[in-house]
Amino acid sequence: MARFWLFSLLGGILGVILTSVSGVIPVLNWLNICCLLNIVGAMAALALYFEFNSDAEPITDGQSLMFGALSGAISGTLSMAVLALVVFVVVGLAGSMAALEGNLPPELAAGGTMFIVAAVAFVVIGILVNTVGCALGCWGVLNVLLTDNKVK
Amino acid sequence: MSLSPTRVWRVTQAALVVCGLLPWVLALLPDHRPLLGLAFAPACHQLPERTLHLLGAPMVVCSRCAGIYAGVALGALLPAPPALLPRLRWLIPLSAAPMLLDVALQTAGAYAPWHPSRLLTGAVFGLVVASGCSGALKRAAR
Repeated sequence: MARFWLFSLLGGILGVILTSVSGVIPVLNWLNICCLLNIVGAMAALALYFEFNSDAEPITDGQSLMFGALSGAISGTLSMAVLALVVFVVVGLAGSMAALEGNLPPELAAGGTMFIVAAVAFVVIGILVNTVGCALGCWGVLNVLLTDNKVK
Repeated sequence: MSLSPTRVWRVTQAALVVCGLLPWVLALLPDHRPLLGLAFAPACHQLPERTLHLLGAPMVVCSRCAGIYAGVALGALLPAPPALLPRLRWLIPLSAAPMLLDVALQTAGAYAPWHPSRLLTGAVFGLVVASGCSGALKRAAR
């Protein structure tokens, strides 16, 4: 079963790679709907698990959801970490420049707590959406394409 | 750690409902856009012309994604009956077909992005997937 979870980790990394690569290619970035590429990464990892483990036991609906959830949590965390870094760098630079010029916006100067709360919510929401999306994706691929590998 | 099938069903159902309602709830918050909207950036292109505006501000996801989210929330609460579960193999691709056709036609320029078709085709797909998933987990829990 350890190999099962290893492939789930692989799915998370694969999803991030797919999203990152497609993000810089103009036409391919249209595929960036509902974390589709992260979901595709998780689904591909599940298919690869059965492809490379011919003696693998069939899995249940619940196990496919867990597989996708772990992949999604990983790809979501990595995506949100990168995005959060970019946001904080941009906001930090803007704030520093404004402070240097002595015209730091009052809401940024006084609203530090609100900003942190919003930032935490932003990361949590991003990870949750990815986790649920990838879980549904893996359950879907098990029921549509990998039905032979499902516990009857 | 092992979870009972009933708990897996209930947790999944709750996660699907919460996740499905998120963009709609956020749209009702005043001044939701700046930071929370960014959380959906990796999940949606958020193009203004393809996004619904509620209470004078754009939603955090495009209208197709908004439809999918709404369908997921509703589908999680309406588990598919056991008789339909063996047919999911065909029902899921079938439910995706109108959405994919809409994507293809809009991308090809056959017609301009139209929110009702984006919302409806997205919602049908989300509803079928979430309802099927909830139904399968409910059957396992019985």
